[in-house]
Amino acid sequence: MDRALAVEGLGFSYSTRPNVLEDIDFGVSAGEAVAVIGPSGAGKSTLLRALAHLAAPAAGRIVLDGEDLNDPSSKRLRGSIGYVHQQHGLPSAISTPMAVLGGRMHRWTVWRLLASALLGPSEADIARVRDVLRRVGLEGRECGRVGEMSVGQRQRVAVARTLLQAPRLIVADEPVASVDPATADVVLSLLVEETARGAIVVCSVHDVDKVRRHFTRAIGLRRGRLVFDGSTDGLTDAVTVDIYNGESA
Amino acid sequence: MRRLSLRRASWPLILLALVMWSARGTDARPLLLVGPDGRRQIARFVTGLFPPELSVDYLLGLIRPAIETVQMSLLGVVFGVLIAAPLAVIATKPSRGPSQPGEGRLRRLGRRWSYATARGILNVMRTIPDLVWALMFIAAVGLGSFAGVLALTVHSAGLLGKLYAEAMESVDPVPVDTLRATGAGGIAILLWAVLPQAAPNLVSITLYQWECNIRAAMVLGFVGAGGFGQRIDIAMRLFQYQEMLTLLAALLILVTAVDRFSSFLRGRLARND
Repeated sequence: MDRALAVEGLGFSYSTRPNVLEDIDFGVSAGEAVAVIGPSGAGKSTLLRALAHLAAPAAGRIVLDGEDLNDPSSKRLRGSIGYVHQQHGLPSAISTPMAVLGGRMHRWTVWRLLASALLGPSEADIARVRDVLRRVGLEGRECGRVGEMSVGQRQRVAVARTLLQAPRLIVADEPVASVDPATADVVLSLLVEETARGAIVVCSVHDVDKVRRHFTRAIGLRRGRLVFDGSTDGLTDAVTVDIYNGESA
Repeated sequence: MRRLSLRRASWPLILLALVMWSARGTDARPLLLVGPDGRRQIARFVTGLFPPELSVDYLLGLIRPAIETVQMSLLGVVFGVLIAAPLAVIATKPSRGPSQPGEGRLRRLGRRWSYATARGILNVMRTIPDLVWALMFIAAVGLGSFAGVLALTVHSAGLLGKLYAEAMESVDPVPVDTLRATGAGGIAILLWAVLPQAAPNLVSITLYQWECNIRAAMVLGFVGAGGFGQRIDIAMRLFQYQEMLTLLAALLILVTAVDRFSSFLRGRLARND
């Protein structure tokens, strides 16, 4: 099977915590969504930071569409990766359109960046923002600041940014950890729907019921090691308990 | 437990020894101040201050140096910001760790070198006292307020650059990471992830520096760098203590007015945050 994303022998250590990840191997096809599960401290966030090109692995490599992410020339890949964090990652002082347009800034020239900072977004950009906000259920919210929204709405704005970016790989680190159940389902559906255009989605989720409902494949981490890789149909209660090492899922 | 208590008990003794050592080194003799001679001199000085010089002509003559002091402080902080801002951006450490994935060795070396250089320049500007900068600039451009403006500019830039860099380093790293992961470059990250978070702090630091510059502008006048301080220096040299009291009162009003205005602006900012 064609593996658009290949994680090969990935290892990661912090100066204070060695072997946070050890010998992680898995591949993801284009148009596939994979949930990452495991107890706290299993290394999920570290794996996702490495996939999002935010942390350099100590061992192994991550290959996206045949290019090694850690290669100095791989910077051009960075527009191909979208990252959604559980804390939405949007400063409250910025306007909603500029928060959403963050997904396109890797394409902008310095002059366009400065013009947007001084004069605000162009009419064409506002139209794009309006369109993508409608997709995430925030129609008519293209005015105002991010700080005026609820946490759930801000997370939808973060997803809107990723939808506007339309990246090849979407990395989501607990994107529904701090939102209400209804918003959580909307956010996960929106992310998984991106596979329809061929995007790869790798998303960590704590709630195993949500994993079963939204994903067809999951990988399980425990103490930095890959202990499960398979269909979510095989994610029985016994398997889940085993992944969480006896901890309640 | 006993050893810990002994260690604690030794701190006041160490502090006392340091105070005595410093007093000996500086020939500090408090009794000189309250002794008969000291009391007589102080009394002569204080009685000489009254009544303050309140003639209309004299008070009108203070408007010009007061305005000049405000102008010096304002230009000092504005020019200081222009120098400090780019240096602070270079002198800000990345939010997460020293190395970025996919970063070549040359680029990493360049980043570290520019960081160290910017920090070094800021240290030099900050470490040399504004009074020394003023003396240097007086030698270069002559006596007057322009030398004071230059001195305040350099010293403000050093202080502001360091504080700006620290304010930008302490922002929440998540917005920086989420934008960086999309492939956005340094300018985009600065404009839409760092500055929106750090802006209230940066403005507050700048206003505080302006307050400090008002006081510093007065001191610089003593070495001939214009403004209010120069008038105070002249009054002291000519033993015109009554004029000096008026000048000090005017300075107090000026500093209080700037402090109040600055506090008002900072309060508005805090409410809008």
